[in-house]
Amino acid sequence: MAHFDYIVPMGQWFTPLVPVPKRLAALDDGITRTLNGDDGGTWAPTKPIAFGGTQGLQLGASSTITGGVVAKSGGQLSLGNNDFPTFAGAQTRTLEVPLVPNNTSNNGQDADLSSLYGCLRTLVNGASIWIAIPGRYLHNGATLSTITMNYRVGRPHSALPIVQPALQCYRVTTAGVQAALAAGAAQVADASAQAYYAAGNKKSLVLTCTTNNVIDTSQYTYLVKWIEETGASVLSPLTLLHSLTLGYTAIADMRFE
Amino acid sequence: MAHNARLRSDYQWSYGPVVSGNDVKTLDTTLTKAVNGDEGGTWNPVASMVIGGAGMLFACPVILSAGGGVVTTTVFRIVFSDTGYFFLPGGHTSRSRTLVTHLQSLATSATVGVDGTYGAPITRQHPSMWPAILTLPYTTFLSALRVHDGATLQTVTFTLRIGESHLPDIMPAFRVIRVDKSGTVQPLKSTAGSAADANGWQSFPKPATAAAYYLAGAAQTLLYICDQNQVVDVANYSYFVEIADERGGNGFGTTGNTYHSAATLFGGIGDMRPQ
Repeated sequence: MAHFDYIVPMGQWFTPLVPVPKRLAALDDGITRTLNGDDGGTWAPTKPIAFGGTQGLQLGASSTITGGVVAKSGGQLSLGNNDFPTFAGAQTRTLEVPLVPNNTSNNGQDADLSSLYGCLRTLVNGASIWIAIPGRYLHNGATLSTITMNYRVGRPHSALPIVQPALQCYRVTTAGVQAALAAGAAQVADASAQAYYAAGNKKSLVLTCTTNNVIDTSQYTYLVKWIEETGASVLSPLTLLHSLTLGYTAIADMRFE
Repeated sequence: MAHNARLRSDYQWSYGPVVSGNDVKTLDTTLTKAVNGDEGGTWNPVASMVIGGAGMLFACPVILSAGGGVVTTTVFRIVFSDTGYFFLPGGHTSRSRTLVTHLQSLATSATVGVDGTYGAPITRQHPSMWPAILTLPYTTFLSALRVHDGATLQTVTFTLRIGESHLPDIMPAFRVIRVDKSGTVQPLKSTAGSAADANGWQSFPKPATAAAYYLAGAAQTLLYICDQNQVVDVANYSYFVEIADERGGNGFGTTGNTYHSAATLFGGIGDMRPQ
């Protein structure tokens, strides 16, 4: 029922009125079922309590809905200005970025496509391979904490390269001004040629980002730079660059990525 | 407490007890605390009002004041029963947004490489052999755009650097296009205002001098205002920017032009549909 029934129909409140016990019991019972707006309490209605009208229901600052919300057809969940659905605790996520030669190669001269692995294959020692992180892999507002290059050395080496490969990342303004995400590049530091080649197995190089690493896609793009090995004992193809693993932290809400 | 307390049980009422003034006062006081579902009002309960059971159904707007919120659990979630999404009201800052896309040539080209300093496309060879009367479009390179589905792409700001001091016959040109599944190209700019041709190409304004064109190698921008086909629909289209480098006579000698970025401004973002 939408409302309680009157215990005495309108027009029958005569004076003096002698209430019969049944009516008093109904009055007493009805009052116990009302929501106590002053003292609060707990209710478990057997049917939903429905509020209609146009004036709405306003819940105060300490109100919390823990039973879930269902927006039926025509219903709407509207966010306050500048608000987004927020996580109770900061979230993390990992994104895997495949590497393909779309302009990550320098016109096919510094890198090309490995037909064996379907990934980048570097060709020139000392070359800087620029890799723009595709926008789909940038999590706007999150902190990019780590960038892992997943790679394998292309051929066995008789000796270590004089300079082993390095990894750095930059955020870039619309005009191309760069700011590094780490104080220094991460560099491969294997102790021997055997360790460097690692039997051709997949290896990883992790860049820990410490600055300029809160992603802002409205102002910046983000470029990874792989600096290929240099010096003696370099062999072409040099390195197979499989993928980037991006580690995001401090994801506070569900704002647009 | 779960409910207001009964004054007497049904059994006690059935004996017809004398109703005292204090009884009526108690009923009256209790009633004043009840939530008035007809006329509304304001309550500040000293303890939480906990509704379990069959819950509450709001066919009216529910306003959560600052500080209030909805907390989901693995059992109780926010559920949209149709194609609804979180709605962004008129004043929400995310109803418009800017996304910067790093320009990348999608095709390997003899005339476009990667600038070693900026990691951006740089033109390598001035096509002086191309006749000056060659009309646009002439594709130099194509770069994919990151877009916001359902939004209106309003403007694209291109940023470039001229490699050296010179003043070519024909300026670089830019356009923004969408391409459907069958490859049909549709520019996002019409000829209105004469800023673009029928294919959506808008040329960089030609300055009076070589020095003004070069601008000492500083970054320069071109604003491209979209006025058609601009409501983004990723279910049916892909979006690109296309850049035709300078051509004709009086081209650059050794250092080409660098094309950095396309900053896209989206408006009309009404909800938080998946992107």
